Order: sequence, then structure tokens, then C-alpha cells
Amino acid sequence: MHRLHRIAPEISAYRTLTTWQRPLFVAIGSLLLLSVLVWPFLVALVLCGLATVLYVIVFVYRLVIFWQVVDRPPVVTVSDDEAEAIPDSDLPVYTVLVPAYREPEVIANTLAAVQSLRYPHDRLDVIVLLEEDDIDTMAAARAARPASYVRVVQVPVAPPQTKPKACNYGLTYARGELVTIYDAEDRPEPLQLRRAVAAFRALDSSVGCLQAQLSYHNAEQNILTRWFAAEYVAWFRGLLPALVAQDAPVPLGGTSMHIKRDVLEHAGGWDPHNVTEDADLGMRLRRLGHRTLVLGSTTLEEANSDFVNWVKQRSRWYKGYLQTWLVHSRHPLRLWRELGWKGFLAFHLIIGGTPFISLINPVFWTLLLLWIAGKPALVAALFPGPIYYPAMFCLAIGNFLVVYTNVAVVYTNLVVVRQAGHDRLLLAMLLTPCYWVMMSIAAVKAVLQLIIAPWHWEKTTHGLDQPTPPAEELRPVHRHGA
Amino acid sequence: MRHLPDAVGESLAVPVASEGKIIFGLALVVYLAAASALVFGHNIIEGDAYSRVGNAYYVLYSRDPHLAAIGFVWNPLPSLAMLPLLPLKQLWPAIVGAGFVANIVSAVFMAGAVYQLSRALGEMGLRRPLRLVFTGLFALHPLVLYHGANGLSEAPTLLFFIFTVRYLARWLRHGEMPDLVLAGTGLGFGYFARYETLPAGMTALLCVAVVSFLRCQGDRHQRTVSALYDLTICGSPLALSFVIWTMASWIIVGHPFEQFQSVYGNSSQARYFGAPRPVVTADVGILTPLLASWLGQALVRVLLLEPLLPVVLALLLPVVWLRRDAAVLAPASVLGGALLFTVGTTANNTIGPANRYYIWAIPLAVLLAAQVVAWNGSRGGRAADKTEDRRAGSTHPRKATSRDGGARRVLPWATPVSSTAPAPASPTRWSIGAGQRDVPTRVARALVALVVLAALAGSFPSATWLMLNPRLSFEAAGLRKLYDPPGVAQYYATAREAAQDLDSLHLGPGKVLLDTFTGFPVVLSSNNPQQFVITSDRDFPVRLADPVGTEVAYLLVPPDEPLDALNRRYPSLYQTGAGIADFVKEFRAAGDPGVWRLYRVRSTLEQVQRR
Repeated sequence: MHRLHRIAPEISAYRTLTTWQRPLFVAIGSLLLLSVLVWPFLVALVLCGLATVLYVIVFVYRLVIFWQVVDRPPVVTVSDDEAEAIPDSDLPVYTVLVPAYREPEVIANTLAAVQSLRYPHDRLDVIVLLEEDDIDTMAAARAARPASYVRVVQVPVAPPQTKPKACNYGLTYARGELVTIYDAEDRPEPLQLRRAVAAFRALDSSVGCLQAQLSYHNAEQNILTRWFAAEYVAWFRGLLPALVAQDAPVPLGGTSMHIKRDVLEHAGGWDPHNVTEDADLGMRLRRLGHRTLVLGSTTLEEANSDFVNWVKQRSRWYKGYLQTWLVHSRHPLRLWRELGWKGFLAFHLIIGGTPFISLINPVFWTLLLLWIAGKPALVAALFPGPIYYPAMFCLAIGNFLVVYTNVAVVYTNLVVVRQAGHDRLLLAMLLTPCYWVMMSIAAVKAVLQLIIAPWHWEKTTHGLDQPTPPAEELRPVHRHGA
Repeated sequence: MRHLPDAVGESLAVPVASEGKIIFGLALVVYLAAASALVFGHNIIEGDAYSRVGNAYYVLYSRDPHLAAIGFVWNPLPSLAMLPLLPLKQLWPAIVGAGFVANIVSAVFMAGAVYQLSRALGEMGLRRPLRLVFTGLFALHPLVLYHGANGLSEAPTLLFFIFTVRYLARWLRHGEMPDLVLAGTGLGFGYFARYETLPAGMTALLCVAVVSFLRCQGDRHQRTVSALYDLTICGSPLALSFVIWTMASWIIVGHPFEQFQSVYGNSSQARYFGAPRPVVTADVGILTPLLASWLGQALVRVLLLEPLLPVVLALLLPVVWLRRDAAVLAPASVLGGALLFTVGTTANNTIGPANRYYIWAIPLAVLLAAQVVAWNGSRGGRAADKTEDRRAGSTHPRKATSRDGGARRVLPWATPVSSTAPAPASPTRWSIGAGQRDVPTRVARALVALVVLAALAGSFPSATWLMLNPRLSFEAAGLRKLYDPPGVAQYYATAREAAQDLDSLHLGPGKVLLDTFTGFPVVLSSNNPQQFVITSDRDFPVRLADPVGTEVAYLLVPPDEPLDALNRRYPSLYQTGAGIADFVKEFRAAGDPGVWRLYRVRSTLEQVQRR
């Protein structure tokens, strides 16, 4: 279970900061503090300039990679006929891991969804992973009378109590050649496994992983779910294919990633200490030379509809991204060699940039508000010519382009999006800046948690799309979203 | 280089990419040559163009260089485009002194417009010979030639309009979103060139919404959603440009719509000078009764510029019905919208009936006429196959390699396992080629083409007559000089003289106050631009109010210019010095109507003594 930490501690998030990172951060931190005391304005100006440069790079990068895939994103599509054409005897054994913790209400739904997969039962190996102390869910699972090919495995209680640890444990029981994960409340499209098999067969052997596209079944619930749904569409149908086209590492979603078993073991399984083990695995796969592609098959999940719950989930994602970024930055030269410059750039801008940008956004929003309110000279002085114009570009045009590209991606996929039941996304997308505010709140929380409790996994409550949501409290259990 | 042919039926071996470059290059050479002839051969300089050079010049070389000096009354794009070229004045002073940089910029933009037009014609299915002829009919049209050469803002606007028309037509034909994105981007940029983009954009967006609604398959709600998305994709860049410009104007100058609120803008000019009068008051022969009404004015101009337009429209309607090709809506909505706006504003006398505002009729006529001929001559059914048409290579901005049918980059995932990507909402009633009748015989086809071409070519003499007629055209006065012997006094000679005089005084920065509304030629002709305190300087109001206290030494005043800041602040300044300054000298050059007076500001002591 802790294999990764033992065999390759450099790639494990067991320690957040490695040998040279900690002294470097301490050095930077103290230098900054010292300079702020001596030359406060100059330091502020330099930071402002650096931040502006980063913003410009991120905006332009996003635009460029999106434009490169705008009319034919590299998504692997398998038709229904092709998927069904494979004779049962030709199909490999498929392991489906279903990690769950404290999900007694929804485990039955999950089992039903998994059992509706169209795959021969003798070749399906479903392993439900429950923690030893999770009596309620175990009882509910048993009561749901799962089919014969479903095994319920009890994961021994041991820190860290996280989903990747459970999955690693489950892997030791796995029989299959291909592995995938489905979470509680996931509703995979029934032919997904077959499509994955067909795709793997037709593709190069360097393809080790196929990430299916995630979507939400409760997108219409409120504005938050709509934002979330739009974000997912842009992510799985826009950004991930764009990264694939860049030959960059693909941050996986926490479910519906279809991996070859040997590839997974070669990569060392999941990192139990990383709270976004999926992104981390994606990095490791790419570094070892395995490609990940996007599979044109949808799994429906439940979108977080509650603000507090959403912040918890998002802060975990940001924390995990920061962990992943720190871990994989440990040997920059090696990383460059393994990923190539495009992958290297994508890694820093997407994995490191996403939480970081959310973190510094509030600073600039505050400056903007101050300036609108009273045009204080200090704010004007922080933006001399060479910083002012790029910053204006980012404010006026960069933000617009982000929303615009999201709208374009959703629109390109409107047929699919409609099938999933999302219909009123346009207005929500135009209000995205409010969503960004929420992301920033989550980012601040993430950084704090990173320092205090890096492995702490805040569980997302499920079942909130039901009319009378159960009264779930904060519990450090695992769940995931992408 | 693309190894697949561009236009349907292309047979010549010259690669397509070079054709575009050659057309652009040729057009550029022609326009630059014409510009040189106008400016250096005959001193024909358009005041508006020269003024835009000033705007760009102040940004970099004035006493108070700052980007906002570009001005908010008129659109910034022409001036912004000149900025990178201004440093060349060290090598070639005429670039600023004669305002030639504006001509260079307009030549480049107009050549770009010609290029886009030729591409659009190719995408319509016109074969090379006809394509080149129609391109020539646009590029060499007298009014287009003049505006490519004269430095005014019609050139960039035409570029963006034609760009938008081209990609809108592609979207109407194939329904692919990237084309709509580009069409929207064209509109967005066009707004910074001229405000006419707003009405043109409105009509274009209306077209997009209606077509999208009708084309989408599904119930009413789905159609509305589809139309809304298309509207957002196409319209939001224009909306953004509008917001950015308005906000910038508001924040920097204090008025969101400086074009209307500024004292120098059109509305203000109209207030002071009265509504624009039609140029013609005297007899113009048989046209006189027509010109009495505003509608007559508009029609006469349009017809003289492009006599073919009504013919084309007449031919168009039945053919549109037969072919059901929605692509014809692209030029009609964008250029037609701009034209309608011109007619409308001429009607309520907001603007004068200048030919330049009717220039949109020319590409409109060319594109529509080409469309008629293209349908006429293209092989039936060929264009009906959408996939074929795409592979036949509608020129897409992206590199050919990723879109060539089959010749993909060798990446393991580039080939989908199957090719069933979700199809975009396919056109239904408006399918390309569906319901197409048999094309007429060869002879009839040739005849129609000949008629169209002859009529288009006939626009050249009629337009030339219009432009040279001083009773109908503002530019005729200038263009008449083409017939005058060389040696005529230079335009802006007065300003040049004033500038030389002031330069010889070797004044320090900020010693001469003038309003660049009419005073821009003086600043542009001077070798010491920093000696001037000009309207775009941030301390101009303060210095204007108190020249003595702010150490302004001289005031330069034009006569008869009620909108000039100095005349507004000190109404009696030109005549008597307004009690604050003494007359020094007057600048007056032969052949140039301008007269300037230089006043020296009295020091406080002198003022006390005089009292």
C-alpha cells in the first residue's frame, strides 16, 4: 500500500517538501520578508510585474492550446457497433474498483450503476473497497445483494486513511488486465468498458491510460452545479484534449480512468499521501513514457450543490495540485528530459499555475476595487507603463478570452451536453467571474491546509441532489471528483 | 504550400498560397504608388488622415507622451497602426511632415482587404481567371484606389468588414464554429477602426441569429439556445470592444461617448456649423432634381459608384431562391448594414453626403455579382458535398497539415478508432446545392458573366466622374489638382512656415500654446515638437487658463474657428489679443487659405503696466 513511498520516496507526497525545496522556500521567504522591510515599494512593484508576466503567459498559453484543437479535438471515439462487435471471449478481465467510505445511502445506487455495465460477468471483477470501521456502508452493501462478481473487501484502518491507499490495497486483490475506478454516485455509460478495450486494441502500445469524460447528472440544480458542469465540459472536452495534443502529462480524473494493470504497477500504483492522487498518477505515467488519451465516453457524477461542501472539495483539489507540483518539481532537469518542453510548460502552468493564479487573484481584485473607489496614487504607482498595459490586456481581454473559450467548447459539445441534460449553461458561464471568487477562497484554504495537514482528505458529502439531503457532517473520509 | 487545389475547379499549377501573397504585394505596390503620386506629386493630403498622424505623433513625441494622447473622439486603430512606423521619421522626415505614414498604413490595410476579397471569391467557387478579374474590379475601383492611397480610415474598416464577410460566409456554408469565431473577431477589431462597425455588426448578428434558429434541428427551446450561443460567439468580441473603448474613454477623458460628447466631435461640429449642407446647390444637369432629396442624394451616389448594384440585386433574388445558399447573406448583412446606416444618417442630416461613406457599396456589389457568376459557372452538385468542399480546401487559417484529408501528423491517437464525432447542427432547408436546378447552357452563362463584368467595369468611369465633380464630391477640390501643373503652393504651407519660424526661436519645452484641433499641421511640421503645449497634454487646461503663471510664452491662434480651444476661452484673442497678449506676426502663405496669428503673452508686470 505504501509501496510508492518506500521504493520511490522522491515521487511520493509523504514529505511535501524535499531536501532542497524546504531550504529554498525558507530562503525565499526570509529574503522576501527582509526586502519588504527595507524596500517595500520596490518589492511590491517587482511582485506586481512578475504576477503580470505570469498572467499573460497563462492567458496566451490557454488560448494557443485551445485554438490548436478547436475543430477536431483528439478524443478517441468508438462507435457503439465497434464496441459491441468484440466477442465476449475476446474480452480481457476487467477490474473495477469502487472505493467508498460512509456512503450507506448511495452505495446501492453505485452498485446498480456498476452492475449495469455491459460486460460479460465472468470477466468482470468488481471490488468494493470499504474501510474496516465503516459498518453502516458494509451493511448497506450487503443488503443491496450485489452480484456474484462483486467482492466486498475490507481495507484495514491505517493512516493515511485515503482513497488512493484503499485503491492500492484493492489492487492486490485484482484479477484483471485493465483497471478502472468508479466512485460513489457515478453512473458510467454502459458500453464504457468495451469502448476502452476496443480503443486499447486499436491504439499504439505506448498508450497506457484512457481517461473517460466526466459530466454531471444534476447540473440543473443550482447555479453552482451549472458552473461546475460548464467547468467540467471545458476541462474534459477542451483542456484535456488540448493537453493530449501537446503531448503533455494529462491530469487524470479520479474516476473512469482506464489503465492497463501492468502500466499501473510499473508506475507504482497510487500515491496514498497525495490528495489528488489522480493528477499525480497522470504525471507519473507520462514521466515513465506512457501516454494518456481521452476516451469519448461519459460517466455522470454528482456535482456539489452546496457552497461549503464545494469549497472543501475544491480546496482539497488545489492542495493536491500544489502537492503534485512540489513533488514533481524536485528534479527539474530530469522532468524536462522526461516531458519535453511542451510537457514541462504544461506541467507548471496547469498543475502549478491553476491554484497559484486563484491564490493571487484576490490581491489584484482588491487593487482594482481600490482604484475604482478612489484612484489612490499607490495603486497607480504599482502599474507603470510596461506593467500597466499587459495587466490591462489581462483584465480586459484575458478574462474575456477565458470565458469565451469556455463558451466555445461547451457550444461545440452542445449535442452531448444536451444529452446529459444541461441546458441553461450559457448564462452561468457569463457569470463565471463570481465562480472565480469562490475558487480563490478555496485556494487560500488549500495553502493553509498544505502547511498544516497535507494528507488530510476532506470528504465530499454525497446525496445532496436528493430532495431531503441527509445530515452529513464534516468527516475526514475519502471521496473524489476530478 | 498546399498540394490540394483551393477553389473548386482549379486547374493551374501555381500554388495557392503564393497567389494570395502576389495579390497582396501587387495591391500594396499600386496603392503606395498612388499614394506617392497624390502626396509628393500633387500635394493632395487629406486633412483627416493628417490629423490621425498627429494623434499618433503626440503619443510618442509630444511634451507629454502618453498613450491616451491617441484621442477618444475618433477610433484609435489607424493611429495605433502608425505608431511602430513613426521612428522612421529620423530617416525620412516626410513620413510625418507630409503625413505619409498614414498613406502607408492605409495602403497596407487596403491591400489586405483586397487579399481577403480574393480569398472570399475563391471560397465562393470562382475560378482563377474570374477571381482575378473581380478582385481587380474591386482593387482598382477609383474610390477604393483613392482610399487605399489617401490615408483615411476606410481602408482598415474595409479590411475588417471583408474579413468578417468572408468568415461569416464560410460559417453560413458549413456551420463550423471557428469560422464564426473569426467573423466575430473581425467585428471586434473593426470597431476600433470605425463606428460603422456597430450597425454593420447589428445586421450581421441578426442574420446569424435567424439563420442559426432556422437551421437548428429540434424544438423551439433548443433552437433558441443554439441561436443564443451563436450570438454570443459572434457578438461578444464586438461587445467587448465597445465596452473597452467606452470605459477607456470614460475613465480617461470623462465622457463615455466622446464621439458625441466632445466639443470636437461630429455632433458638436453640426451644432456650430449647422447641419451638413449638401455640396451641390447649383445646377448639375439632369441630376439636379434627384439631388433635392436626401434619398436622391444617396441613390445617386450609390449608382454612380456602382451602377451594377440594382442589376445584381435583381438577378440575385431568383438565384438565391434556386440555390438556397445562405452564404449570400454575409456580404448583404455586413456591408449592406453599413450602407443602410450611411443612407439613414444622410437622411437625417447627421453627416454630410461624402462619397467615402458609400464605399461599402463597392465590395458589396463585387461580392454579390461574383456570387451570381459563381453559381452560374460552377459544376452542379460539386459544392453539395460538404466534406468534399472542405477537403477541396476552404482556406483555413490553421496549418494545412492538421486538416488535409488523410495526411495527418503521425501520432498514435490522431486517428480516431471510428469517425463518428458528434455532428454539428446540419443545415436543413439551406443545404448547399439541395434543390438546385439545371444550370443554363454555356452560352447563356457566358453572356451573364459578360454582362456582369461589363456593368462592374462601367462603374469605373461613372465613379471617376462623380469623384471629380466639385458639385457632388468633397474630394474633387483636392483631386482637381491632378490636372494642375506642378509648382502649386503646398498644402499646409502656412503651418509649415509657422513651424519653421517658431523653430528658429529655439524655444524650450512648453512655450507655445495651441489647440491641435486645427493646429496639428504646425506640430507635425516642426522639428521641435516639445515646444508646444497641445490639447492632449494633461496640463493643457491649466496652462490655457493661466498662460502667464505657467510660463507659456506664445499663443498660436487660427481665425474663424469657433471650436478652437483658444478662441473659445478668449473670444477676442485673434482680433485684439484679449488683453493678455500682444500681436507678433501673422502667417499667411500663397494658395493656402489658412492664416495664423502669433501672440506673445504679456508678463504679469506688463499686464499691470498696461492696465
